[in-house]
Amino acid sequence: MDWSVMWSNRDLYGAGLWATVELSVAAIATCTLLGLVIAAIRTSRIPVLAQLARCYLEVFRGTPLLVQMLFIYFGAVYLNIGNITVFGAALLALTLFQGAYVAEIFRAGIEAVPHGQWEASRVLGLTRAQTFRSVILPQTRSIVLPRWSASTSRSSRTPRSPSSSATPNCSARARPSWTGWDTPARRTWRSPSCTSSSVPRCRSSSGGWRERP
Amino acid sequence: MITKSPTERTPATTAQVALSGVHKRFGELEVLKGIDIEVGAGEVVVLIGASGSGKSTLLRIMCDLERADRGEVWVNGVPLHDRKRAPEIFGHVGMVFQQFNLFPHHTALGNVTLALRKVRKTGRKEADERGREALARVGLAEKAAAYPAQLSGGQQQRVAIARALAMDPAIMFFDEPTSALDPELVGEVTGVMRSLADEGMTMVVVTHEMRFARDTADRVVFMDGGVVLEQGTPERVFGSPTEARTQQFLQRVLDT
Repeated sequence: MDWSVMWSNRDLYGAGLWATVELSVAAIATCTLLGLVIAAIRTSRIPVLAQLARCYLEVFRGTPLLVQMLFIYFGAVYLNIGNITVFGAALLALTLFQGAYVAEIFRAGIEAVPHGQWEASRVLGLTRAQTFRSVILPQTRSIVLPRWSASTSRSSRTPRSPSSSATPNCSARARPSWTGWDTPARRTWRSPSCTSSSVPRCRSSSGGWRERP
Repeated sequence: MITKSPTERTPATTAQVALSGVHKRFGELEVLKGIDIEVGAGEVVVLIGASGSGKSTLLRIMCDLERADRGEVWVNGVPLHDRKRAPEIFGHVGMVFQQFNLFPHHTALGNVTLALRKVRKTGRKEADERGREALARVGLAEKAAAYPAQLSGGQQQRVAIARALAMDPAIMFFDEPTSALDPELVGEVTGVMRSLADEGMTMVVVTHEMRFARDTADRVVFMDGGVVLEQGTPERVFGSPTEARTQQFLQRVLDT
């Protein structure tokens, strides 16, 4: 086997790896934030907003990421909205897609906290927002974290989708250097570069984050 | 009985708690069928009755965790039947739950001071000081740094009482505070409640602890099927109950 092809194309691979890392980190941050906000709205009793949040979840959990990416990237061009970069479109799509899953994970965490916690806080005079921040949210951490990391690490392991709208990430970069579809070099490159970004998060979920005694 | 118009803006009495014509149903089930009850300042009222008699629901209406379908509810001068004004009650009454409902991610002191800091905007130092005082009142000064999971059930319930006391409540409500405790731990909680009663706290207590009711209550209210069937001093209700249902109930609980 001729491994020299990989070395001679190291710049391409390096750039691809970097793009994956950049996109993953940015998307994890934004989808977590979005998920938290949506979960808070969804579990609130604000009439119209709670229903809107529900619609968002249904749409973005019910359609493929690839479709969403194409829709956002080409839709923006078609509608002439700003000049969205490829990276921007990929980030937006990943955020909206992953945010919907993360929101449901947060919601499950919020609803797993016993109702008595809300009641005790209410009689003490805490507002709903104060209760959410100081009482409920800290208790959801140990419930949410394992599933949050599983869900977000999956998103950075779907590298082919961003490349479809031409974000040159690690798997897309591998293509020009190799002619075959499923070549050893591509497989080798894809797995370590992508797992490397998900491993630390998986580990963080397995211990050390539990409730204090 | 004098009927009061529902638009009346002030309570008809000086009682701390005044309910009149309170009805409540959960779906098909009518839980409260017209309750009239008053609790004066400094009075200790114990609600007794079989499960499903509506006593817990009544207590939850008094601290606005449930809403009455009909009737007037005045607590500490706040009309809870007026949806706009009802939230004024929060932070001014204390509630102790059967399941403690302590905040598991906070220490005992953290539990006691959370509302002081968030609701009253008390500075950390002053809040801690008042929190320690409240813990001392329930005999747990040395457990300030312990998390709820490190405490026994009785200790947890005493922290819950301290958490309510720290807000300087006008009235304390207790919803079966000893029902989730091992028998040998009941005494430490009823002991704290007794000392509160001695200090002149206005208290409404739902309990199955007949000994507590007998020694500490100023008035015992027997509820059955969503109505107040009989009430009076503990001597009267326990000694010579007039209603057959009361006699039956007391016979059953006092035998065991």
